[in-house]
Amino acid sequence: MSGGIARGRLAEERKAWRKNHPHGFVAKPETMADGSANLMIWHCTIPGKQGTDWEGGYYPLTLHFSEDYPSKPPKCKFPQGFFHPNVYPSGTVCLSILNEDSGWRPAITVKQILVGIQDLLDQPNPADPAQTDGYHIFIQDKPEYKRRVRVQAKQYPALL
Amino acid sequence: MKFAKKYEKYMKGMDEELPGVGLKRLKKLLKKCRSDLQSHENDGSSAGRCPGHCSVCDGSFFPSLLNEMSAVIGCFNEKAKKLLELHLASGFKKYTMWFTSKGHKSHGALIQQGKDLVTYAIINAVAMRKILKKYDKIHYSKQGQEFKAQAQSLHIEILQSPWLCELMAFYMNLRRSKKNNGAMELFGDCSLVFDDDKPTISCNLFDSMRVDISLTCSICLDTVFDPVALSCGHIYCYLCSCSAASVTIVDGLKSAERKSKCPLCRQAGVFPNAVHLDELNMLLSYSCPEYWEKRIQMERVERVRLAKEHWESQCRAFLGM
Repeated sequence: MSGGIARGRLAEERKAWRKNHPHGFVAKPETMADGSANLMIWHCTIPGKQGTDWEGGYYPLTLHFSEDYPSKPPKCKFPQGFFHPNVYPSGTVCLSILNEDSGWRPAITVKQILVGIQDLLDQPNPADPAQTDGYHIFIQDKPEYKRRVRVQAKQYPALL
Repeated sequence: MKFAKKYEKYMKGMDEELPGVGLKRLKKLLKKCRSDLQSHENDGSSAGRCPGHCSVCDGSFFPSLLNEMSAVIGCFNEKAKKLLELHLASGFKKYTMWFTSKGHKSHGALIQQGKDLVTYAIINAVAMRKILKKYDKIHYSKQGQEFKAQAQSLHIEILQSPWLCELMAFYMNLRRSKKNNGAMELFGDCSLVFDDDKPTISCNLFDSMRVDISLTCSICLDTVFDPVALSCGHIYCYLCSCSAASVTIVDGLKSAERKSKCPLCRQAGVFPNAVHLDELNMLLSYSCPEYWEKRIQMERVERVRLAKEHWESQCRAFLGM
């Protein structure tokens, strides 16, 4: 019903992002074979926060917007098997502001989503686990968890 | 002059008797409460807290303030609605309304009435703010602030009223038409400000109060077009609000489910009583004509598409396809 609204909103989001966005972050719509932009899928990069174990990593994230956006939140996916207590094995991020029934509001922008996910990286929510591996290590063996995070950060270096 | 005296003088000087905040009575109530508190503190019992038999906390202060606030906002909304209907009416309807409204209001009288209404709204908003502040000061509590939040959720916070925004736009439209010279003392600096292409109605009011109403739709992130204000006070484009309420433009917001929530404050049941802000629409169309023209074209295409989609689905349902 609201395909026009979704695309209009995403065009505005793109404009606002190009005008001003947080340092180190990348967010751009997918480029189609014919060179045109597909506003419904955005390829993003989230930098690990400085002073944390995630620092040095530039983590790829894909945002999938539906025709019902912004009434419904986008689906945010890291690569499959991404190590974090609140990321499903498929890579989908589990975060309250991305949940239609809890924290999502149409007023939330792409910038807020990406910054929210960056915060989540170093501040996992053990009350809402999404993967067994990440959750158990985080709860039972903090040094091992930190080591795994640092190893993962090296797997995602900055793309020059 | 103290605010209470200023308020009393203002309310007495009005042409017709309108509901207001019983500032004098509520202050007396708080005075009694203060002396009760002090006598209890001297006894050494529960210092700094309300005693069990506190005449304020036993349910006389907040219920009466709630009733007064409801009466004020009800009166303000009704009068603003009538005034704006009169201003926006056209053709035969306008003449009918003109003659049925007492005293065949001239253009100047309309402006004056609008000005009086906004003054009435603002002075009552200040009165409510002051009395709640006083309550918190005496009781060392945050109950006054909590009551303010409750008033907002009950839609009886006057500065949240969509009609206030409409009246401000009404003023600016009249000022633009240059038919009223100096009729805006209260709103000397009420203006439409474009900050980084984002419009805001900005207004400095007396008693260091300031009202800033953002005119950016938080759904499409663009300037509101064909704006509607939900009953929680938030403003959106009509198309965007239909999308948020999951209703078609043919059915309109009246058909929205009670469980549909405001995209900003997540309050339920705010769509069915949404108000179309026609004066604001007019103001924006004059203020950014190129943008407006472009947006009209886009909107027309989108509305035709949505209407077509709606009727096609109706036909399919009718034919059992």
